[in-house]
Amino acid sequence: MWYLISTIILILVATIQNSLFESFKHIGLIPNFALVIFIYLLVYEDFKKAFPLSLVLGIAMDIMSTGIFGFYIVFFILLSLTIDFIKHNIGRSKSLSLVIIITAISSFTLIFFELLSVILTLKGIGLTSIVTIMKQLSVGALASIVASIIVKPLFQAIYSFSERNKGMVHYE
Amino acid sequence: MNKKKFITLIVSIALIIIFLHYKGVSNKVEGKLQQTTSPIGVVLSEFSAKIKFYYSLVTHIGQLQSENNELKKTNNELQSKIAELDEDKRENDNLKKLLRFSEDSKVNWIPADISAFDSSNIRQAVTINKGSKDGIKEGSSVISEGFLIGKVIELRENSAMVLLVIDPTSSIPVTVQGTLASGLVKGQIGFGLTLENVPQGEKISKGDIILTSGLGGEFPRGLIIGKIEEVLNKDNGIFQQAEVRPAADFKILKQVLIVN
Repeated sequence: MWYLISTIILILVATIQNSLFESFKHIGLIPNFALVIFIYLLVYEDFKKAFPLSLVLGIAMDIMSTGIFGFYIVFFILLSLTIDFIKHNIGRSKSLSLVIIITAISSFTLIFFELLSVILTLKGIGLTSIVTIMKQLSVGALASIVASIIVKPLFQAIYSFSERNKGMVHYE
Repeated sequence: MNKKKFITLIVSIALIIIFLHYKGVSNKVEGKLQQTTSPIGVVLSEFSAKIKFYYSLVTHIGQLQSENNELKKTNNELQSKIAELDEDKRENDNLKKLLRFSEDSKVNWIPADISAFDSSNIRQAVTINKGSKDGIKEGSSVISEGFLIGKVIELRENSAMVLLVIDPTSSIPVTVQGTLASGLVKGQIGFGLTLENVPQGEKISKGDIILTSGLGGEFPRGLIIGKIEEVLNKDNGIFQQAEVRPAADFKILKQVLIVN
């Protein structure tokens, strides 16, 4: 049941990201909510529970984008493994700072690969264009970081509710 | 199951999914998933278009007033031109009859709604809620409010991906209305368009309308793309360059027409 609900929520998040939010991208301040929510899930949930969802979100994002199919699947799998590594070797805490750091790193990784794909497609690109892209995308990454702070109360409310429910089932 | 085996299992499933996609086996399943999310996407895209419309209405109210006056003036001019054209049409019809011209227009217009925007920050593409089942073909031109906005690059049963003309990889052969100048309109990073490869001898100026030339057969001839905003003339260059303002408003794209 948990997987079914999470799958539906993630597909919905991907749809909202690709329709409602991305249509505002000319403003240049579009946070990647799909990424932020997935990072929260990875940081706060058990690895074995959250890892298969990287496939769900990856497939949904790949189907809805025009880029190379498989890019998001691979990206989200690597992101899951990285977060698991950090949780086990650097700090196990389910903290906001970990979410913010991961959001920043993953946003800039996405930017790097987007830039790389454009350079490869256009077979060369001017320095001015690179600077423009970097400026535009850095603002986007910053927006994602801010979004990770805004999303926290909402995520924590849902998370503590599901934890409480789990407890109730346990004591029954 | 231990952790290593679990990771191997998920990664293997991912690789199989990617492999099946490139083999074309999973197209139907992917199409079904997109078909399921498409209605939500259409509603959300329409909602965002409305927000953007009202936002621009509030922020540009002063500009709108002066634009309105300008449009009233243009409208009066156009009314008189319509009258002239009506007369020309009548004359044209008569001449066609005389030449036994067969009017065999096979152009098929398919309306569609935008269901998703590409999540990349650089690529400019949208997904529409009509696909091969509705008769759309790969390479078909896509129009919004009478202006060319892009072409179909990827086709599924119930949806299609449209590469917008403002995408950095887009390149369209064009002519400048009222002149013999021809060139290429290319998408720019950051929502703009540039006119390139126009020979130095050709006279182009601000306000000139850019139309598809039909060269190469990729786009039909005579579709409006935009207006020249600034001519970037370099005396030592072989070609002229110009900044082009797209005619279609890409910020409030909602419904489109596919030309088959």
